[in-house]
Amino acid sequence: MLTDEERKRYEAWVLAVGPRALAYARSLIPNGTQAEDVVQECLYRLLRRVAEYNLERDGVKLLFKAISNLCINQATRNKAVLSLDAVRDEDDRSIPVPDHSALRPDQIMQYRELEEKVRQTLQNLPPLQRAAVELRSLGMSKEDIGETLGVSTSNAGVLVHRGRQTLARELGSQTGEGSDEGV
Amino acid sequence: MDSPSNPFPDPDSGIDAIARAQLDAEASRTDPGTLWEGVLHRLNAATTRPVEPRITRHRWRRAGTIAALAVLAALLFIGTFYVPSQREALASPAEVVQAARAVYKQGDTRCYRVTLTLPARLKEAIPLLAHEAGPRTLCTRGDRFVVEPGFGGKGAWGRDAAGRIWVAPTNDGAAVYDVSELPLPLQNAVKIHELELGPLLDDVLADFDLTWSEPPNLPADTYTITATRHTQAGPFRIASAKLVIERETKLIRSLTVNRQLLGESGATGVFNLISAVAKDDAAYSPESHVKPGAPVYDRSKPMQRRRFILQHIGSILGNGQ
Repeated sequence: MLTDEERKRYEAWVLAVGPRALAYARSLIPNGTQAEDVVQECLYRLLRRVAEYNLERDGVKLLFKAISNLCINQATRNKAVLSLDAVRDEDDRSIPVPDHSALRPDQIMQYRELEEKVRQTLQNLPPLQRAAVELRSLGMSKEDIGETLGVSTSNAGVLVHRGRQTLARELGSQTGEGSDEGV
Repeated sequence: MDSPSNPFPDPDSGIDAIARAQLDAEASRTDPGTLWEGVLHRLNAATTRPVEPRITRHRWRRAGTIAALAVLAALLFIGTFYVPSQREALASPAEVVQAARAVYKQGDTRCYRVTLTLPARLKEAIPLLAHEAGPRTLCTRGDRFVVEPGFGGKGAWGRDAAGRIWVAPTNDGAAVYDVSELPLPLQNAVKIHELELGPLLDDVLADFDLTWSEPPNLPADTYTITATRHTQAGPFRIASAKLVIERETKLIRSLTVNRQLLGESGATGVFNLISAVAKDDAAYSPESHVKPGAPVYDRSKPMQRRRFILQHIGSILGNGQ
């Protein structure tokens, strides 16, 4: 059995990190139950080995890395079932990118339609691009994203860039503005 | 990601903020408490192991190491010549299910996350379940159970210690039915949800072919067993099941049940263990799911009961009541 101190420490950490980990997993695996199983499995494995690393410093990175591995493998295996639109044009044509800089998160959340559109657009991104954009939005650096997704740092930058481009293009008509600053 | 106090710093405005807002909106719809309960249960199960006697003095440790190596060498020698194969030392699927059955007799309440998949044509036949969105929690002990959230995502429903089925779509009241007067849609919902593990495991041991779904010698902390009924399953009976059983505790961590319904169509219910806890009988009664003093309509007030049910879940009950 865990000690009281361990239990409280782990519980606080899971409650702080769990919701966004679940949200991230759900965006990669549309089946909510499967996504929850993946997150629970990753948390369990991570906490069983907590003596081997610094939970507060490195736990989030390790957790998202484990979730990415499981979810992206699964999403790739199930690609035809999950999304017929998952294969998208990824060439690097120059696309006029609207400027979103005037939008703040609190403004965005006022618009349910926009939320649905964002959800759909993210869902339609290839899994690696989707993961890269979401990890970036959670504050990860290019290096961390590369490590988490098992790709090089420069490839992580490309994934984020292309994901952002697609989002900006798809959402441009909704928001009317946008920007695509580097990672 | 550097600050331990804030693992998710605010993003820059623009696309990152949009993606983050979407993630945060999704995060707000999650239930981290349930997630933590599941993780805690598994951590506790994994860390509950018999304590090995320890030799603390250095010289004894060294002597012990030498003795252990000698024993290991002897075992390897004996194993090489006298043990036919490692496979024979492994439990069979039936032995594992029997062990799970024995543990279940200990009788705690098990709480499961339930996800139900119904083919489209069955949704028309079972309107109460057609409106189910997302997983529910089912806690069960013996033949008692409680499902939350209830039909249409409202309140709760279940079977009490007396075997009566109750529906509490709101905490302002509940309706209770004896088995003999149960409306058909409710009968069907019960048949699909009930998870009397004892009888189910007895059936599995008696009437099903048991095979390993995954090789049992894999370095996993569970056994995975597929059970397939010997004969054609009758309506609402289980045709096949997959059981995931914890190696150490023999708790059933996950159960996937395929029930035969209409023709070739079946319902698949996935039950994932959240926790094994103690709950008294009151937890399974309608009274514990309504406000103190709120009415619980039974067969003595059939008109009020009918009105109450139609008012709260009539739109999804269809013509069943």
